[in-house]
Amino acid sequence: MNNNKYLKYLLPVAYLIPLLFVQVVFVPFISIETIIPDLILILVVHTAVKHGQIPGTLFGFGAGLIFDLVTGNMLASSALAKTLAGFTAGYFSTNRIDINLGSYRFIFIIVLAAFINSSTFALVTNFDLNNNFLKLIFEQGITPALYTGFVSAIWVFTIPKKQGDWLK
Amino acid sequence: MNQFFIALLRSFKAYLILIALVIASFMLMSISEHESTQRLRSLALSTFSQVSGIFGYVNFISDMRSENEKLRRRNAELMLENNQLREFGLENRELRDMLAFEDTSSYDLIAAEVIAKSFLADQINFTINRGAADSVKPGMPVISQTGLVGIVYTTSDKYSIVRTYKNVNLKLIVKLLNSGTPGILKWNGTELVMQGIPKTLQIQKGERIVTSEVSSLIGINIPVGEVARILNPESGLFNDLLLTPLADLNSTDNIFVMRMIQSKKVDNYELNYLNTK
Repeated sequence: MNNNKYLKYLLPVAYLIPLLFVQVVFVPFISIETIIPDLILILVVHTAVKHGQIPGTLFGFGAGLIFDLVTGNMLASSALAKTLAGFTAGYFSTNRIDINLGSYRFIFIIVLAAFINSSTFALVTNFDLNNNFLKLIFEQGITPALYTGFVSAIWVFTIPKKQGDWLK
Repeated sequence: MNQFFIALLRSFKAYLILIALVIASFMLMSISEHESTQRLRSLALSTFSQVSGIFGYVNFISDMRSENEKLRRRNAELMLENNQLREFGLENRELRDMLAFEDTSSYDLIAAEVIAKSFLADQINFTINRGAADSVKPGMPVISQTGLVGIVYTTSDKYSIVRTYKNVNLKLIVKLLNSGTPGILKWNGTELVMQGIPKTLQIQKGERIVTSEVSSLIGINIPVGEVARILNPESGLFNDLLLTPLADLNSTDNIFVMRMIQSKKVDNYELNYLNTK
């Protein structure tokens, strides 16, 4: 019983590794200018909604840190952004996870979390008082969030769901 | 009292974890450029790149790769040569001799493939399949057949991370090719700009921008972009120029690292500019 409990928390970690490769090797091919969807964020949000706020926050931090290490970003910049995104997404974790995971609500949560993720990252890495913050947030916060939301919409509406699976 | 604290901890457990992780993030950010962090980064990069390199090969048709590489190498060499010829036409040869400019008629290029691209809001980094074992060192310029791509940021044995010009942390001294006026090249998160151009200077649209000899990071003229427009003609003491970059990062898969021997002074001191935000 206990093993199963830990196993369910390890499952997102197992998904994370191949997703990291997909994110850095294949996702750039679908970039629009420099905007790409953030698949790792989708996994972080899914974990937060499914398992709760604390696992989501911790997973966001870990996933972001690994991402920073392998891509040469400023260390912990993605970790901070994904921690906040995971924490925010955790507010949508309820016992009835089918409501949030299998519907358009999931897309809304993704867009919200992606906006927090992208804006935080942009503010941390590009902090300059000479910058126009509204423009920065619009260009680097909203547009990647919408693209990530669009990709999550494909996932939500194309993966067939067995009735009642989420209710178990 | 203890029970009160335990109850308090339970009630605010999620918030406390969040605060702890935020503090940890800021602490880690402060040691981002530390030597031990670079070693850890190098190890992670090496492990990750070995696998992503295999994925990366899927994107290339193996038979055409060597021929493509030769052609791209030739293109890059011609681009540099062409740029140098422009320079010769504009600069006084005698002055160059007086300044004892180094003869830069040939460059040693290390061909490399981009095996992974990290696209984030305001920074794009490439992972390439050449590293310290191929004598790639941090600070070496990276070019494509069309122009400057960026600078090697960190290396592992077989792989390196390249900070591209679309990275807010990379700032370079560049100059207008016609007038030789220097300025600072900067990616502001959404646009490539050249800052610090005197208001009085006449600037033509399409004028070429190259890296400047006075740059501590890239000491030769590599084409970077062309002037698209002046950003702030009616305000401030200086003009900022919006540039159209020559190298398209989205379609760049093959690049060249310029094996430039850094001076001891550069290694010891001036590369610090690369390692600071």
